[in-house]
Amino acid sequence: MQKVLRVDMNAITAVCEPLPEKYSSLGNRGLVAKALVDEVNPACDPLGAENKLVFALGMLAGTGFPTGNRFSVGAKSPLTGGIKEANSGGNIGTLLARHGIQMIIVQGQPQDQGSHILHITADGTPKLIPAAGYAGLGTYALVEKLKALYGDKIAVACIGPAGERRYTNATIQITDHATGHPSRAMARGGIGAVMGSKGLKAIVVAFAPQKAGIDYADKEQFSQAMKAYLNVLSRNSITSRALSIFGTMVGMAVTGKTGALPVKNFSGQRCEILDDIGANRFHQNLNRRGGKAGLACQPGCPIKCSNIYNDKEGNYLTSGFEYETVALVGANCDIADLDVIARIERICDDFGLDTIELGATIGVCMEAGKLPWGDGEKALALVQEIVAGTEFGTIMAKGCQATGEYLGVRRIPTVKGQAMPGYDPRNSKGTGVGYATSPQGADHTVGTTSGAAGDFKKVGRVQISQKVQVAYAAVDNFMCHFAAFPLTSTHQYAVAHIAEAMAGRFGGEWNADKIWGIGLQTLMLEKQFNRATGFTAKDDRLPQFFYDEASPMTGAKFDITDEELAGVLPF
Amino acid sequence: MNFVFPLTKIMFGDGMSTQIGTVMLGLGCKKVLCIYDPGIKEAGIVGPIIDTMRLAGVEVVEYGDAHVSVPLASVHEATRIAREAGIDGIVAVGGGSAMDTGKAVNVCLTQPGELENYVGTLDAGAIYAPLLKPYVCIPTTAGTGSEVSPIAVVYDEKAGVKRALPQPENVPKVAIIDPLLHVKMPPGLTAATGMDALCHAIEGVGGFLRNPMLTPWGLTVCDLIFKHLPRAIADGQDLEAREKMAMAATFGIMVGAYGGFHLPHALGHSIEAVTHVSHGITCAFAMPEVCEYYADLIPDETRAMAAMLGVESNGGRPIAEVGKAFKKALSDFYLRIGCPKTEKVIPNQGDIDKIIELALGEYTYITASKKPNRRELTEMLAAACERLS
Repeated sequence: MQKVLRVDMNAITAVCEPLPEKYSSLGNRGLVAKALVDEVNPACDPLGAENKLVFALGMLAGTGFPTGNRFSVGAKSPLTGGIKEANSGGNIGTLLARHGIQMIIVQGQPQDQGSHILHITADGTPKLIPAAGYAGLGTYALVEKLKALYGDKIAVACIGPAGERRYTNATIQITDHATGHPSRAMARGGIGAVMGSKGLKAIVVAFAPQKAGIDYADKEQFSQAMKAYLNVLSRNSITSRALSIFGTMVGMAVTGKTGALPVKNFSGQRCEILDDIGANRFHQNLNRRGGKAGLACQPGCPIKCSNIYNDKEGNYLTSGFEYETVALVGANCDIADLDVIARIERICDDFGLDTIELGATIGVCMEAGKLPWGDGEKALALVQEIVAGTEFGTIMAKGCQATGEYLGVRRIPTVKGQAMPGYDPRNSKGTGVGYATSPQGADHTVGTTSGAAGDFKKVGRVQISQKVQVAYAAVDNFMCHFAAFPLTSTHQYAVAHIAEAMAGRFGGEWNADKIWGIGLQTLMLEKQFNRATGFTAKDDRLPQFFYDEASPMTGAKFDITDEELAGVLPF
Repeated sequence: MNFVFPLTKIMFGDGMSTQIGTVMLGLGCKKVLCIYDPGIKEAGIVGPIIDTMRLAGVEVVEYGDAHVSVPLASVHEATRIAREAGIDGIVAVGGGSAMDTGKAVNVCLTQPGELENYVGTLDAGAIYAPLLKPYVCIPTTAGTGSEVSPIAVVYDEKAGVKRALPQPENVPKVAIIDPLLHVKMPPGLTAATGMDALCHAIEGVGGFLRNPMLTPWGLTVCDLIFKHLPRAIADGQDLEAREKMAMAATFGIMVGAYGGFHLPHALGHSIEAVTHVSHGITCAFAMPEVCEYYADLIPDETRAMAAMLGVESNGGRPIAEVGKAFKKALSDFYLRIGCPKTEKVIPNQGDIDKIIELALGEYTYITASKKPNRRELTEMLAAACERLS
């Protein structure tokens, strides 16, 4: 039987309740949205006692379905003021599923600014432990201490000092399955600040010796469907080959030459430093320094897109070093040195900062002339200002929008207050439509079309964004996007296996429409929440400069009209 | 298993190059750029080919200065000539250098933006195929296979690095393979280019994109080379040997290019960069060690290839033993056809670390289906040096 763990940071209590029936038909992002709509006052202060921090596993958690133990978190975002969901792999989903804990809802706020750690013991008992001794610790040191105390087999979700200081670009970091380091991030929307506002420094989950049971409607049907889907994954060239060999950096190969890769604060120019920061150089560095590709970030993942990136001396520098970080901190700032980008990434993982938001923030600083384009060392110094908490550092910690406005920058690449990820919306218009219309703001998880051929033209972009947003939102209820590639590239064939798996798990009639329907339902809940916070159609557009300035590389402007955007998610 | 397999029209056989005029007319070409190197002209090969085109009424503009390694300056010069002449087709006559120059010129001439947009391995930009000029290759060596491959390698002399043009759209339109053009190839060049073709086939059979249609091709190519390369070297006028080697080269590259190159090419490129020994030799240098290392990954194929060289390799013999015996047999083959020993290939053993450092950064290492770590790769190369000392 699955459970909801409700943690009250005002009363300092942590109690497990049975998972309500209405919560079993959604997972991850959809479950977060449902809980927020049900329980959170949309008008609340995101960093106040009324907001709730909702962690959720996917619909197929605990079943062994590939990437089914992905871990989501959500709340009203202090960055966007709207609904926010972020998710990650790592080992925590697997360990929570062993306990049968499907959701953790953190509510209230301590009256004394005290900080706690939520410890879920091996027998599944939740305990809140005062954590004053951990205040100000970076996530790497924190995880090391927690492991010394609770053993190596634990999983941790934690905040760094950024979250404790309630910085609105703060992340929640998750321990990685391959390395054990807190190098996976639930990064966007300042979700770490919400955890900080609750006085929760970390969630520590012990390994349950006894795995919680799952009530299958038809175990055999489920197993057959899972086997069939594993077969699909092993046959798909992206999920069986490209991602394990090249990781997410393979994205540079598509976006770098089509102009979708953001360059110099989304100038639309051609990236001149692709040789220095592209996938080939990345893997050269990896191999020459004894790093590794092809690692699984969560247990049992057959796709294995993660990596270990070492420094020049061959010592561990960071892991889970991904496309989005290199796109934003590298190409978008014209920083032609993967090692500098990796050092910034490590600081971000340790201090608990979103590398996408940060890269875009440094980009507007460069645009304002605060530092020269491409100056990696000065960029590092700016990051150190955030760590040190200088006056300008605390402005940067509020994200790209706040920093751009402070510096008087006209070109600020944000939607709903959240910085754009690694796709220029003129040269990847399908992605641009997603940025504009998603309830999540500009986000790489809402539905990217990745700048493939023709993506800089208007034709079909509204329809494809609609399709991809619904598909991503659906997938966000039960698996990692990367395990979902076959769903979009093999049409109904692979989706049928998902439907079969759902039928085996939950019973009833399932088909492709019902799977995509989960996505629609999720988006409807999110839009419902956002409307109640005051968002209107006026918020569903891009910054004006994307409409006015043509990309020098392709000549494309963002030419999707407001009327067309209003028709993308018309509910 | 998803793959793309672009095809070139192959015209094969003794005397086939006399069809070039008709071929160009058939492609709608009235004025073509003919690319070759001075050696081919001197050997009297290119003159008749140009004459044939002119007799057919095709105007020919010549670029006779194709260089080994395809330096960008040469590509840009040829492009300038082509642009000024307003050509509507390209013909390359020669080995890999001339044929790769043609591919690069075609991109420079027809694609928007700089060549820089299109070079790279993973990061190479897409080519718009309809813009390309009809491109026809007439190989004069039996090794590179560039006449049917999508890959060209150019040398960026300013940066001091080789860059790949890897797009499948860039396969030549027609390959005219005329083994009679190969009879003047000296034994050393025959051996080096023949070993290149052997590497293509052996690597493709174990590559990360290997597939069951390519494997039999690869094995047949190996068999052809084991049988006919020694003959072509011993007697350049052995027309059957020349024919079979020409066939092996053209089909071998397809196995390699679409099955995936791996460690022999990673090491080969890197040795080449340091000691400037020819491509076929450097790739073949440590191939026996690689074959032993790959034996357990592709046991059936290893047994089949080993048997071609007379190794007792039936199913009962442990694969590790077969791998070891195959290594020895390949090494003997390499020496039998007169390929150079260590002192000529890696004269300074102190270069090994530098070579390994380069090899670890090669795309063909990154994508190798079985990957040794730095220490293992170093040991393999050191063993090859020792074996051939």
